[in-house]
Amino acid sequence: MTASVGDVVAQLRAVLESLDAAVVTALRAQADADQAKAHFTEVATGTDHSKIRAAVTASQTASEKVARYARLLAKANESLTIYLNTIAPGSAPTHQASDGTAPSGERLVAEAENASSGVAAFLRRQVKKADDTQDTLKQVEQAVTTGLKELLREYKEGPGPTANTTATTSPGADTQVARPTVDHPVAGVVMAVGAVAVGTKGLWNMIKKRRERKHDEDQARDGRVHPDDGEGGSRSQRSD
Amino acid sequence: MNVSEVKATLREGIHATKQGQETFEQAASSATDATSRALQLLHDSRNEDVEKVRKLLDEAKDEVSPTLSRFSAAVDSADDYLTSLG
Repeated sequence: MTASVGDVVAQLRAVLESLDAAVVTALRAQADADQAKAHFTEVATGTDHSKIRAAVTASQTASEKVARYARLLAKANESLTIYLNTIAPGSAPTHQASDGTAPSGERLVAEAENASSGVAAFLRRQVKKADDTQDTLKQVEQAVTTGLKELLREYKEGPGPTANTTATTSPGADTQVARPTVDHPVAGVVMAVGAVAVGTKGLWNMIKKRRERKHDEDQARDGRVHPDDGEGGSRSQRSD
Repeated sequence: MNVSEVKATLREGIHATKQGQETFEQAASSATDATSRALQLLHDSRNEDVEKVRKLLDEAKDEVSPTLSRFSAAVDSADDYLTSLG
């Protein structure tokens, strides 16, 4: 039986969705194992009985192994997505946000296209460029990060003394901006698989904060180096 | 924590473990089916990304049995301890 490329792509997309769902299910299993371990650990407090110790160890190992299983599936999906977009560009989403906790690449592009600033145009170009060239996740991340640093440098050259001094002042705040806190296990995997989309969202937020801060600075005209909220952060820490 | 509290907590732990095992079995079953389809569809490809997919799915497949055995071991040990408490 010979299938057309279209058929193969359609079937591989179904595979992609199944694997994605399996990742989410596996993470639920991991949460159960974690809960079990917490119960066993509570019981084990104050006793050296080998059986309860063994139960703690086994539930912890189960949790770790399920997490590894989910990671392997997620990474397989990542490579499968790249392959699908190689044989049929645009055929597979570059990011599967199963629970909607993180934005899809398509949504980011749509948001960028709805905006009119130079920053929006920049992000739109980066996302589309990545899509066109089927860059690896790492390459895309690097391209977006490096390009954005340049953009921010140009952008910040106006305000004067703050332009070069903010780079090393508040790395902690930057970490918060560049890596949004995600406490949902699914979102954790989504971040791992779809670092492009999540990273772009973080960068997008950072730009918004910087724009707000610049506006404030322009109004204040005091050339302060450290805004109290520190939300703009340091671009020098972004590439870790 | 008195003995009855210990037993209740143990039972909760055992329940959570069994639930986790069942959920993982579902994930593995679904992923195994999807993996078979993927390997069939991609069997003649030598693409670099396809090779990665094969390798990763193979590794994942190898994790299924050991993972299930850890869930079982946790249940068995906790059951034994529960029994030992009378």
